[in-house]
Order: sequence, then structure tokens, then C-alpha cells
Amino acid sequence: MTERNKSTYLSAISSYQKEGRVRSVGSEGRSVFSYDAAVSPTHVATIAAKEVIGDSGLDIKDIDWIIAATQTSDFSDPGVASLLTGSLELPGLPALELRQLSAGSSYAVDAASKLIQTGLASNILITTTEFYSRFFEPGAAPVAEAARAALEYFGDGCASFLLTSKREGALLRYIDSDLVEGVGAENELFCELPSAKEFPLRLSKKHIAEQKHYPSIFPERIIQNISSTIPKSIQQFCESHEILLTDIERIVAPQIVPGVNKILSEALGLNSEAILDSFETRGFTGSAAIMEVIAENIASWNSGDRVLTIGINSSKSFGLSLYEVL
Amino acid sequence: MAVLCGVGKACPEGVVKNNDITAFMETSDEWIQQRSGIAERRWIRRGEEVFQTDGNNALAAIASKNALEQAKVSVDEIEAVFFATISPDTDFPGSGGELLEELGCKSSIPFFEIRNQCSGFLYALALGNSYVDSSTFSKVLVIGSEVLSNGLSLSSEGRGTAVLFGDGGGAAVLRAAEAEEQGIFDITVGADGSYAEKLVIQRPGFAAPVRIQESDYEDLKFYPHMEGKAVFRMASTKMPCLVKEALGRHSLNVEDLDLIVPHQANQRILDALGAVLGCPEKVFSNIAQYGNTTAGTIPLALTEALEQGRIRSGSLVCLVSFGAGFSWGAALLRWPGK
Repeated sequence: MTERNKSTYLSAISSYQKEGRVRSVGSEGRSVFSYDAAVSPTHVATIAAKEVIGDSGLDIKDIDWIIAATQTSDFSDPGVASLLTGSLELPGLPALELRQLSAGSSYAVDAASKLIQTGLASNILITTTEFYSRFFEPGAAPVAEAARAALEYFGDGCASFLLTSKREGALLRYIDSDLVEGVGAENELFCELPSAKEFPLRLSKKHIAEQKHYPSIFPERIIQNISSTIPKSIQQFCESHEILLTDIERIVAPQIVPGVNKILSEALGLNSEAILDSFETRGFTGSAAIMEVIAENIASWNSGDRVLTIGINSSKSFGLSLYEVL
Repeated sequence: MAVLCGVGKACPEGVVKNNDITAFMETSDEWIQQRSGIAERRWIRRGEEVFQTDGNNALAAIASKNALEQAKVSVDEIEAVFFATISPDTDFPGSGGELLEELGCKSSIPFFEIRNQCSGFLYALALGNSYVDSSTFSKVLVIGSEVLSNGLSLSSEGRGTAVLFGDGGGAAVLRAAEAEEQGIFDITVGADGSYAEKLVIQRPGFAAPVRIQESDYEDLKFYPHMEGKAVFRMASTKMPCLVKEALGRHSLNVEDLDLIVPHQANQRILDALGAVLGCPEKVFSNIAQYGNTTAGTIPLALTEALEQGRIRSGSLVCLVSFGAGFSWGAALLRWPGK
């Protein structure tokens, strides 16, 4: 068993930027990786994973855990994490699958940090992969406004990164997260089906015919509610780490819907341009969004910069994470 | 180190015996029992008969409250929840908000939704244990619960798998071990995705250009698919190895164990486990009554083992799983108390 270590570092990061990434027709800013069945979530996660392992200088055999934060696995079961042990030829590796939506990177990083702190792991590969475009068939024309909003906003994303106990060569030092699951049913962003409550089938042909299998998003509810909860949590998170929000150099907050960051920045007293976001070029890419933004911007960040990431599922369910650029 | 200080179970009230199933698929009680050891299972519904309509969160909440009561811990003391399931009440955002409400939580806490199939409870336990062991939290809830009956092909075409699965699950409260107290002292999990398609539910899935379409029902891709012989062969080999390896890391032997609580997939796998280890009497089984409740089997079995007096204070218990992924896990724990 490896020695216990209190600190966790992000040593390499890669977002999937390869050929096959197309823009969806008729919807500016929503990315779709491919309409080809050969391009699956595990396929792109494998490409990103190999790139990040190569960049890290580690041997692939040094990886001792895999965590996948995703809503969109190749199969219903098993998921991307297990499939990666096959595609990366790492049989026997622990492979944890989390379903945490946009807060996925915060949950995955924090979980990884505890595995490293308790000596269960040293080098953890984390993948955040979302194929949200495949919630809808090509040419879909949802009847419900909430489903049309999801079709417009949902995009595909993929980023992989390594959490390690070694500081040498690392990009970021992980400090802490605040993982917030609010009490009560969700009515801002959800996909009801498949459901354990539906009978005779958790997702039936009748559901498909009635378009009940599509995700729904209610932008007006999110916009209305978001300023009442998240800004206060952000302030409290910063206070608990004895920093002022205005002293944080980099804020990464991918939007679920347009306008979220304008509201957040106003509530927090920030310039809206201070918040890094990928919505205009990719749409809403769930768990992948935060690490995609970090991957694409980190080269221009300065040593000592603090990075705050905000992964929002709804006004009452989100993940906050704090890092330091090394 | 974390200690399991309370466990609880929950199952729907609807008992579905093998002979009930023969009404809608070509099978027999004898065939099912011979091949799996299952005599009955609990389903939330049986045809048009409704036993419970509250879904998986309701079951998870009942199990959790039972565990909290046994542990003498208030839900307000719980600092995080680790929920293993493949059958949530909603696809996303998942079970957290509604389950926390069912539990009576007054404020938000971290809620991990873990999707690791038959080994889900052990993955959740590994994670929960890490959070307690790292002194991040002092009390957490670990749950494994499923409603599988509405994902089965209840026809002769689906009889190979539909007869195996049941609804139900359990929960465990973990707390930080006190000085000199030994709790969960070994936990290991693993996977090999090269065998993923040996035990798989393909759809809804995002490997195809659209996650679900009508033809997926005709093609049976919506229902579980299992290569039974391959699963049996791997499980029968891997599970005894996991137990032996766990014991070996601590210079312990099978003789030192008081009980093995395995994932309940098939009685023949459990029999093989007992035979290879040379201790069939130490392998706990309740599959005859509940079938395979995937992430729910281990906490459900653990609770029943305690109820039956098979586990007492100081007992050395081994939890072990093998299933879809393929994924697996094993844990060694000492039951708290004098």
C-alpha cells in the first residue's frame, strides 16, 4: 500500500479536439463529435486518456485507478470506466463510474483526492465524457419547449486528466471542493427516463412516441433561481479558505443556459468577462466542460494563480472546486 | 478506518414466486431453481398488480432509515451519501435531491451516485470508507438499491435473465472507528472491460447515434444480456481468489472468517465459492428469496445475516462481489462491539 499523502495534484490534462468534431446544423455553438457509431464515448475517452498519459510522462501501467464522470456511457451498463480498463488494456484496475452531471469533475477530483490521501491510489485517470447530442435522433423536432431548449443547448465534450500524489511536473495543486446536492425534486434540468417509477417498462416505446425520453431544460427557472443560492455558497466557500473571491485569478463556470454567468458575475461583483466559459462554442457539455476550459487555457495562466471551478447542475445542485496553478 | 455501525434493508412487499412467472413466460419452478437457486423474488409490480409505486428512492430511504435506527444515528449527522444503483428514479440529475428529501435531510450534503452494477455497493463502500478514513467526514451513508423488474423482458424470449432479478436493497451507516477499534480494514475493487459484453444492458446507450430507438426492443438490446457460462466460469474463479487475496494480505485464513457475504447472483456460484474455499457453511445465501438485486444484494444479505445471528460483535466478515463490467470487489471488516 502506498504511503498516505495529504496533497493531490493535477499532472496532465487533455480535451478531445480531434477530427470528427462538427457543429450541429442549424444551431450555432453546439458541438457534436460525430454521427458515426464507431465514435463512441469510450472511443473518444480512450484517445484523450492516451494523450494525457503520454503528456504526463507516466507509463500507462502506473495508472492505478480510473474514474469516469459521465451521464452518457456506451451502454446502459456497464459504463465508460469499466470499458476503459479494456480499451486501455489495464485489466483489473479499479474503475469507478459517477453520475453527477456538470458537477462531475468536482465529485471525481474530490473522490480521487481521498483515494490518494488514504493511500489507495497514486495516479488516477479521470475522464469526463458527454455525448449529449445523442439524446436526440438526427433531425429531431421535439414538441415540448423544454426539450427544444435541451436540443439547442446540449453539446458533446470530452476531457481527461490525471490526479497524482506527486508535485513534480504537475500543473495544478488541488485544494478542496464543496459538493452541494440540494434537498427536493429537480425542476430546472432533468431527464426523467429511464425511471424506476415507470411501469411496465422503465422506458417504453410509448414513452418514445410521446417524446418523454428527451431531456428537459427550463432556462427561465434557472435564471430566476440561480442568484438566490449559488453566489452565497461561493462566498462561503471562499471565506472557508480565507480568500476573497475578487482575489481569485481564474474562474471557470460553464453555463447551462445563456445568461447564467451574467447573473452570477453581477451577484458576485465581478466583471462577467472574468468568468471563463465554453457555452458559445460548445453548448452545455456537462461534466466535460470545466476540464475542457482548463485544458484550453492553462498554458496562459501564471504560477500561483488560484482557479475556482463552478459546475452547475441547477440552482441547488452544484460543485465548487479550488486549485492553485503551479 | 471506518466501522459499519448499522445496516438496514428494504424490499417491495410483492412476492413473485417462480410459478407466478410461468403465467407469462415458458419456464418452470424446477428449471429456475435448478439453474439459479431462486424460488421467489420481490417485485414492485406483478403484471397489473401493484405492490408499490414509489420507485427506488422509496426503497433506499426505508433501508437507510432502518440502518440509521440500528446505528442510533440521526439523519442530520450524516455528512454524505454514497448511492450505488443502476436503476435511479430519474436518468438525471439522479436520485440525490428526492432521496435526501425522503430521508428528511434539512440541508444539502454531497451525494455520490455510483454506477458500478453488481459491485456497486463495494465501490460505494470503498469511497465512503476513504472519506471517513481521511477524516473528511465522520458519518456517512452507503446504499445499494435497485428496481430491476421494469427493465426485464417478461416473455419467453427473456426468460434467461428475467427470472434472475429482483427489486430491493440495503444501506449501511459508516462512522469513524474509535481507538483500538477495527472496522473495514481491507477493501479492493477492480474491473476488466474486455468482458463488458458478456453481461450487458446495451440500451439506452450512447455508442449508437441515438441513445434509444424502437428497434432496440425488438433486438432485445433494451434488456439484460448474459453469457451465463462465461459469467459463471469467471465468477467461480475470481470470487474465491478475491477472498483468499484479501485474507492473505493480513496473514489470515479462511478459518479465521466468521462469514462470507457474497453478491447474490446464482446459488451455483455461491456453492462453488464455498467449495473452493472449503467452507460452504460460511457462505451466506438469501438468493432463494430475493433473486439478484444487483447493487442491493450485499447490503440486503448483510442485514439478514445480522438479523439471523450469523454476524455478532467482533465477527470477521468478508464481502465479495463479481458482476457486470466485469467488475469485482472484496472487503474485510470486523463487526463493531465488544
